[in-house]
Amino acid sequence: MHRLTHVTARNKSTLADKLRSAVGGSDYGKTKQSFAGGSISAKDEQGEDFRELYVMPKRKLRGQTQLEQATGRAEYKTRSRFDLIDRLSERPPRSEEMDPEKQKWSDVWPAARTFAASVVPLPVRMGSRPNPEKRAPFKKEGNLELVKIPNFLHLTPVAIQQHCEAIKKFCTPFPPELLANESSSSSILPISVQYSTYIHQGTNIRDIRSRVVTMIVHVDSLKLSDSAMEKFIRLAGNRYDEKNRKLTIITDRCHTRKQNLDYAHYLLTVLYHEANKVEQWAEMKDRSDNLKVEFEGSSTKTKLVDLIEKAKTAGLESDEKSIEKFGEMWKTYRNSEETVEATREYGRQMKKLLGIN
Amino acid sequence: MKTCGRVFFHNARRLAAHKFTFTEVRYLSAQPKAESNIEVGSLSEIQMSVAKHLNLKTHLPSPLSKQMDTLGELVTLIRDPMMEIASCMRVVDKTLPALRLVLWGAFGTGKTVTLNQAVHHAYTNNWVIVHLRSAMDLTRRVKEIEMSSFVPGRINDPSNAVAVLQNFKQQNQHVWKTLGELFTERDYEWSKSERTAQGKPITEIIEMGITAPFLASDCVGALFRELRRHAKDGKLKALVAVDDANSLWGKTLVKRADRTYAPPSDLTLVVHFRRLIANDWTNGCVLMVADKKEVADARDELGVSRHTPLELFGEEGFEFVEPFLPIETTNYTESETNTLYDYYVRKNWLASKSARTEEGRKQLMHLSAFNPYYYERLCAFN
Repeated sequence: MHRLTHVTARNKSTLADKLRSAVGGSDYGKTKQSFAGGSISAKDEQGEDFRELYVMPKRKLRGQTQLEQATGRAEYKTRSRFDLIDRLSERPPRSEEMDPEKQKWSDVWPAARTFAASVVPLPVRMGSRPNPEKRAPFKKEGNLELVKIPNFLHLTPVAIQQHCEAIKKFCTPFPPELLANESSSSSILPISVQYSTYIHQGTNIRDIRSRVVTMIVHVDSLKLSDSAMEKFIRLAGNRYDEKNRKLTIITDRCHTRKQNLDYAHYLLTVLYHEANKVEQWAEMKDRSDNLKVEFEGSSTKTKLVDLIEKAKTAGLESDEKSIEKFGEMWKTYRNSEETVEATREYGRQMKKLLGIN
Repeated sequence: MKTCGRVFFHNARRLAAHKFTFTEVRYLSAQPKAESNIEVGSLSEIQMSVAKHLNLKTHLPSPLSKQMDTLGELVTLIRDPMMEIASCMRVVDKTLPALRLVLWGAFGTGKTVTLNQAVHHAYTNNWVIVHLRSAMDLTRRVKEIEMSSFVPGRINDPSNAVAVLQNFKQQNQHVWKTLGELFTERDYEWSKSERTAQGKPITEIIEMGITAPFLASDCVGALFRELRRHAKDGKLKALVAVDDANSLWGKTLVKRADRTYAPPSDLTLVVHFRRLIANDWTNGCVLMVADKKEVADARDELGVSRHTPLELFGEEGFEFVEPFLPIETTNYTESETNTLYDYYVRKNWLASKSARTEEGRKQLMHLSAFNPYYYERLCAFN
């Protein structure tokens, strides 16, 4: 629409005449005066000018010229727009000039930026108005809605591939041993860090949840002594998972992800050193303070040994050797959640131990 | 024709009943060492006179004692746990510490009934029986309390103590003569005026407790002490049967002077029963029931408490009763329901036509989900 193929000079415009006469000086308005004087230039006996009666203007009216143009009697004069030069001095939008097949889009849109209608050669439309089937949403030009939303025009698959290609020379391949063996990765890479980056449609591309950092540590790799391990477990509380022996630290109290990650590392360091400290009162630990109920040295064991001794004298075929096996079973029975099957197993082993059938 | 048929049917029924009494119902062997003459899964009758003697009417679960009244006889099914208890009672010896058995199982699977069967078994073997209807009575149904004069801080419970002694007296009439020949070890000075001298029969302690309720709690302790001693000496064998035994380590509703709840270890009777459960004596068997009613909350509709011993006894109680032999009571098997179904049909307890059909039998079985309590309840209404 901004394109004009031919340009006509505006030599005959009235404005040019006016300018010319203004430059020329005093004879401005003479032609008009002479024209106003009319064809009848007579004076009456008093010597006054002949005053012509005004019936209609002495030019062709608009309707008249239009009629003549429509019927072809008059030539239709095209006039160029008054601000043509201004318009021509402005460059047409880039999107109309570009050839999408030949040029590299990643050069056009190399980094994240807000939407620019003149750059993006896509006929995108956005906005809402009633009856969308009758009237399409607003076009991209001057559309603020398109500017408000985040875009990912810099993240085209080609651009990402280019990026990867570019940084490939800095990377080393992931150790294939770790890929092959899941368990060895826990000892070689004991710390794993998890965080999430959020992408969503909204006015703000930042997400409060992206600051949360989860750090998972394989506790075995800390190489703690037994007493230190117990202290570690007590300090870690429910962050320590006994089953897979992993410590999970979740930090979210700082504002940025980096700060939270630093804080997680700090916590791990503090935990480790605190666990290795031995306080004076730690020696006062009692049997009842143990994390687990132990079979060795328990009153149950002494009572059981005594009972088996007496059962032997009473003539029962008690199985003394299985007391160790019973002890193992007893330990798991006492330290895990009690189930029906566990109780049955308890009964079976106890029967075997006492020799009752 | 019709009348003739009815007469025939009537006779047949009488014949069947006749046959049933003599061949189908047998008793658990009275001889502990002898080969038991009864198999698992068969019915066993407890004579009404014996049931009355053992006061089973109060000790059995109420639906069963009502059924006993209605049918005029007490026939129960001998199941695996009972056989296990019987075999355990067979090994009880003068040198062997008191065997502790804990009956556990889901609701309605027959813990209490098995306990009563064991009491009957002890009766047929002429054992001394200490039978507590429910340990919960001692902790939560305490009508009156008085502070102990024997141990400061202990709380006596005269009414329950008298009940325990009376029950003991009633259930042990079969060995009363033997008990009368056992003598006390030392002088018991109950109060300034009452005393039991050394060398008196231990039945005197019981009489003393029954006549003087304010002494009864101490008498219970003395009686249990003497029983343990005589059992150790081999003069008697004792069965201690405590229903809801885990309540001995549960919570109490007894308030002390400062309005706090007393722990069960402050209750004299609870302490005495715990001492009986401890296996520092020989020649006896302690049979306990771990029951959910101690921990279950009727108002908690969502929570499901476990019925396993450690959960019910708690750590303290569990460590006290260890080592014990857990004996599980389970739901019926199909053949067990069939046995009971046949019995109920024979007794006309299953009266409706639909219940007496094959389909009715199956419906009763599956509607109750093989749970003994619900099976009995369903049979009572069909």
